[in-house]
Amino acid sequence: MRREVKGMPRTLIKGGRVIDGTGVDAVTNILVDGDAIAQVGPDLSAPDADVVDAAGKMVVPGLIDLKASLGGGTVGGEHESVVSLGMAAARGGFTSVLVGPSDGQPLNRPDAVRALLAQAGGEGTSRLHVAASLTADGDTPILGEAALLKEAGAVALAARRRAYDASFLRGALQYTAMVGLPLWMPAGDGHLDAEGAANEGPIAAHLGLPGAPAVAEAIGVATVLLLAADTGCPVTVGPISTAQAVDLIAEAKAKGAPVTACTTFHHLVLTEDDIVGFAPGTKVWPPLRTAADRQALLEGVKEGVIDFIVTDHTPHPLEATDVEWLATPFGIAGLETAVAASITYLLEPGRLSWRQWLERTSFAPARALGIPGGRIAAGEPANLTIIDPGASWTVDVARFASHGRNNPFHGRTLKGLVVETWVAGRRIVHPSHDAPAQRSSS
Amino acid sequence: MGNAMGRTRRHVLGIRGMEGDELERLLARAAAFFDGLSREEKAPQLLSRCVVTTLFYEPSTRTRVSFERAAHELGAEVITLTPAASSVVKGERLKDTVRTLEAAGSHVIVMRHPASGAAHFAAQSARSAAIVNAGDGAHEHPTQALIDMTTIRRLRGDVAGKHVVIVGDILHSRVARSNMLALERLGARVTMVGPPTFLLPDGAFPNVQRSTDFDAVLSDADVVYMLRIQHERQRPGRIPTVREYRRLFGLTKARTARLKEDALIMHPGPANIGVEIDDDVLDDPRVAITDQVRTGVAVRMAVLAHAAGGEGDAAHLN
Repeated sequence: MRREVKGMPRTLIKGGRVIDGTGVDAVTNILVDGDAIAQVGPDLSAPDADVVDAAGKMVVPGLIDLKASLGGGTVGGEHESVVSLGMAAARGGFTSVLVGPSDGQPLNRPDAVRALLAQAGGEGTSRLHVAASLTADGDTPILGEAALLKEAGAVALAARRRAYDASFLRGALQYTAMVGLPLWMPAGDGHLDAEGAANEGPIAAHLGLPGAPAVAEAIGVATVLLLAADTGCPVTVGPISTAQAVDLIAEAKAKGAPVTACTTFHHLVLTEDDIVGFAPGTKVWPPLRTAADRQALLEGVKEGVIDFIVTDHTPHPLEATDVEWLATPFGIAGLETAVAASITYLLEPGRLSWRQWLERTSFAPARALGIPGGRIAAGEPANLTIIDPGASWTVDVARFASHGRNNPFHGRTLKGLVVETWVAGRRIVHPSHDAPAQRSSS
Repeated sequence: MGNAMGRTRRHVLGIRGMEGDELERLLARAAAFFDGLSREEKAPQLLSRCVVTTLFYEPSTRTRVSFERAAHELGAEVITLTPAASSVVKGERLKDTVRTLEAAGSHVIVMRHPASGAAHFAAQSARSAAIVNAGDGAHEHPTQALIDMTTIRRLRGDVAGKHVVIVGDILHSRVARSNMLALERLGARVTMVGPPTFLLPDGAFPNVQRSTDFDAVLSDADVVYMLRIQHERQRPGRIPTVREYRRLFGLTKARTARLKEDALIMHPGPANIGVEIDDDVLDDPRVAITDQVRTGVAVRMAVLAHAAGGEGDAAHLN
């Protein structure tokens, strides 16, 4: 059962391995008082405090996902709600999520932004922030009301399509810079990869799937990078999926362009080989690429060329995804498997260190959102993720808090379980995955 | 043994998925059925009390008719589902259609679908029926490849060692994919020919040569396999005009004059006469198109018997 413990004055999180962005990596104790961390130290004692035994567990600054959405846009089924999204975030160990526009919730009107924020923050949920739509209306290149969206609470803008021409984009970046919001731009060329469903190459060729060439992503990324430098508008490009994009971003950053970049957990973990057999949950945008691309992304993460690892959580109900591969909508409901997939495929095999991983999933995202983070120290808000890195569990999408059922790890046994998420002092304890399946109530 | 429910079903989804000697066994069985049909013998009623449903989401006459003939030959009951006249147009999902057909007694579902991977999905959805792929998107068309292998063997003895030149829109062709897989397995040398906008990317089939110069490979071909130019799949930017395509890649009389004397000219049909193949070429004795069609029923009998499983396997081989 999910339970939230309220009104508890003080809690001692005892004996966990604590890693934060200031260089701390030690087994220690954390005293939480109200919504903040009161004290940190190996010899802490607080006889009146409730005790959470964190021995053998990782206690890290709350993870922050900078790209998620309510998905949707398909007919039928139980779609993601603001509440189920918030719960899925908490279950996944994310204390804050930047929610962007999607087919189901275009986030293109100020009242939609207000409504989402008003529904957020309930019991058992993580904090939601909004990246509103750059455009007023999906496909049409017409600017959205950036200033009014900001006034409504949006902290960023996000473009949903990649089919905008340079003339519209340049104006959009100039205008966004004036309003003072960071802009998220997807990577790709809406003409060259318009019909693509899988990475162009041998796998797509064998499966008879329309290919999206890597060069299309490079073209899109190059356009965005050049326009960011030209307009001075801060842009986050991505998720990126190719080695070519990593190179272009490294080059632009070296020249001082105001750019950051992201990739997804699944692009670091999976490759196009995982599609073979038309495996469910592997139709994502950008498409899964080659092993060489994945390696380049990992290098990019280590070197800081890639600033953020995001889930790109795009939930769809089972009804929308239980169809032939090509008919499934793009995207995965990834919030609840990001940590375990990372531990299983990145951290345990030593492809990334915990610190490298946290830099991209917590510390840098906090800086980007302008919220406190990266420190586990007295006075900091108690945003914490407690992970049991040794616990194995078998992914069953029916047990997700998210209403999304599209996930490539369904049925796989992964290592690493988020056991508690602390959102500004609110302790959210997660149910064991061995417990009977239970739908979240919303 | 007449009880169809006691058999072990086998999906036939693609040449790729065929394990061990499955391809060889199917070819041997198809050859045996072909001989039987040629002698006008009554085929063994391997599918008596079996229900075979053809479920075609794309228009097709010859493939469907050939499957239905094959099913009848083996004693099966045949149901023809025309999606336009069924609940499919009301938005019924493939999974539910498959389950409905199973509940209504189908043992084998022969399906054609415009989406690559649809047959795999149907096989995942099916609880008891065997799925036979009669073409899924640009992915596979295994029975066509079996027909072509059988035809080459019958007319030229062996597939191994032959140089097969496949010409056309390979990128969108399930026929080309299944054929390349089967040809590779059986030891043929394959060259794909077409404008670069029609060819598969490098590395997709490492053993298949790529060429944009039909004339350069003509005289070395043992088989020229012409693919249908599908007008509905042409977007601007792939080829300028059909006229120009014919000039560069059409099988004209002038080109056939340069073919080996014992070369075979093949086409999966229906041909666009005057585009990929000229009318006056069709009378050439090396044209094997009607042989391919003639082989179709026997191959599909072999595939249906294989899919329905059970007895007959060993019985009919010898």
